[in-house]
Formats: sequence, structure tokens, C-alpha cells
Amino acid sequence: MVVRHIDHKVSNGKLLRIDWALDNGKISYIRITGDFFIYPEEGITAIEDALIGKAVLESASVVNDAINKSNLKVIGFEASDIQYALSKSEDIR
Amino acid sequence: MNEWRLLAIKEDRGAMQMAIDEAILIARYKGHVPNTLRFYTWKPAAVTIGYFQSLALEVDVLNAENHGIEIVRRYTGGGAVFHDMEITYSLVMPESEAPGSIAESYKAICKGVVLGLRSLGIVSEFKPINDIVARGRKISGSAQTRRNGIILQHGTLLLDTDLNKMFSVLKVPDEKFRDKMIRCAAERVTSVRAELNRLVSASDAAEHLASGFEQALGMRLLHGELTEDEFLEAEKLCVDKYANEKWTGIR
Repeated sequence: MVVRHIDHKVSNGKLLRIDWALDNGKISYIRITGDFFIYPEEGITAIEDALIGKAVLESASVVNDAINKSNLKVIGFEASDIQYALSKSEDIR
Repeated sequence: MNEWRLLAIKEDRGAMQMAIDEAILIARYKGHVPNTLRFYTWKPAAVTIGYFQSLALEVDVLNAENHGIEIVRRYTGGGAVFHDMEITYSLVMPESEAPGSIAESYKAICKGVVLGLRSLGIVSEFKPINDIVARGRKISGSAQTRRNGIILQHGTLLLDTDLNKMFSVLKVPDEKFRDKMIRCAAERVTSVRAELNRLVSASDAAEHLASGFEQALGMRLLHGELTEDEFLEAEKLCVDKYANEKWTGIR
């Protein structure tokens, strides 16, 4: 597994620092870290778990669904920022 | 007027300070204690990382260990903080007594720090999401968690800075500075000493901040003590969680 890393500073938001891996075009590993806030904090695993097996292009809607399903409040990034960061990471590669 | 408990300023290791904050949060949501404000200092110096941060990406662990600096993961989100020549406040109150949104509650609570700084002679302002700046430079940062309807917010006020020491243990990604258009870390941080050209003790700063919080939150502080249950809970949390490498390295 090749783990990629991307840092993405969200405009007027926080810094997303993501380690992730792709397998056959699907996310096979992802760890989202940074100085953002999620309430409740344990909700980060719901977001990460939801992204496994999904394509980068659907990641914004997957994250959005996970936030809504787990009734999370996120401060410092939007669901679309995750997709933007992962897309940027793919381009850099 | 709403009465809160004010605990005496306490110096202790970082893991214990984080444990006491969580113990008060637990005691508050169990209804065993009133709303509480306390102040503390860190001995030894420590670096804390936010709940979501990667230890390896944020902290030079070897350098921290070589300097005897404790590393602790917080219960709250936000960024890495070097705690040395500073004072930390922590307050515990119900969500129902704070303004509606989380963003608004940060602003309302941080107003206590802004008013405390004003009484010290420093003009500052809240800068969303969770900072307070003086002359455009960060002087205070805060973070909050919410559990069972109760807010725990803690934050630092820099009394003085040793940037060389600070940045020997904090890894600072260049990326973060891009949209802030600031060339180096020294230019984005200030301290009470830098603003006033004199040292202010932690206990003096705490008095000003306490008065600021009373005004900002419309409450009255009454001196109190940590209960025995809170202390025992804190000791347990310190050993089992905050001083435990498993928790520190979880991300």
C-alpha cells in the first residue's frame, strides 16, 4: 500500500493533513488529521470509515452524508474540502 | 446573579491539568458541581496537540523529550500549543447558558479574555475561529469540547515567549502560513510582556482574566475547591488517559 500525504489549508478555515491510499480507484485507507474541530470528536471515525471503498470524486457527498447521519458539527472545513484535498493529492502524484 | 466556582491557580504537569479539566466536565454534567472557572500553569513545560492532530506531524518528539517537555493530547480539537511562559484558563458551563452556535459561544467566552486584557492595558480582539489577537498578532488561543450538554473551553494567554524553544518542539508546516501572508512565525505571535514591556505574573493575569469573565458572562465568581471526587477522577484520567502513550499517539 502506497500511503500518500496531502496538506490543505482551508481558506478562512483550518489545516487538513490527510494520509490516504487508493486501491483500484477506491480509497483503501484514510486518516484525516489537523487543527479543526468536530463535535462530538469521536465523529471523525464515522467520516473516515464512510470514505473507505469510495472514489475520490464521490468523497464530498460521502463526507456530507456521514456528517448528517452522525449529526456532527464540523468547524474549520467543509465536506468539499476533503474532496478538493484528495483531488489535489492525486494531481501532485 | 449566576454564581460560579473559582478554583485557585494551580501549577502541575500537563497530563494532570488536562485530567482535572475533564474531571470537572464530568462532575458538572453529573450535576455535582456548579459552573467552574480555573487557571493553571504548566510544570514542566508541555506541548499539547489537538484531539485530531497527528503526533508525528506536529511535534518533534525527540527534541521535546531531550528538553524535558511533556507531550499531551487534549480532549479538545484545535492546534498544537507550547505551554511555557503562559497562563491557561478553563471553564465549564452548560451549552444552554452560552449563545446559540458553537462559533458564537467561542466569541462570547473569549470576550472574557479580551476584557481581561483590556484591564491589563492591552487592546485585543477575537479573531474567528478561536483566536485572540493584539495588533494583529496571536496572544491567546482557545478550544472547546461539548459533552452531555456541557461546554469545556480552555485557552492560553501568552505571558512571554521564547520562540526558539517553542519552535524547537513544534513542527510548523509552511502550508499554514500561505494564506496568512506572514513571513515567519515570530511575526504572528505576541505576548503580554511584548505588548506592555513588562512582565505580568500568572496570578496577576488570572485576576484580570477572572474579572473579564465575570463581565463577559454576567456571573459572579466565588472561591471554591476541587471536590475529592473530582480529584480522584482526575488522578485516574491522568494515569489511564492523558499520561498514557496510547492516547497521546492515537493519531
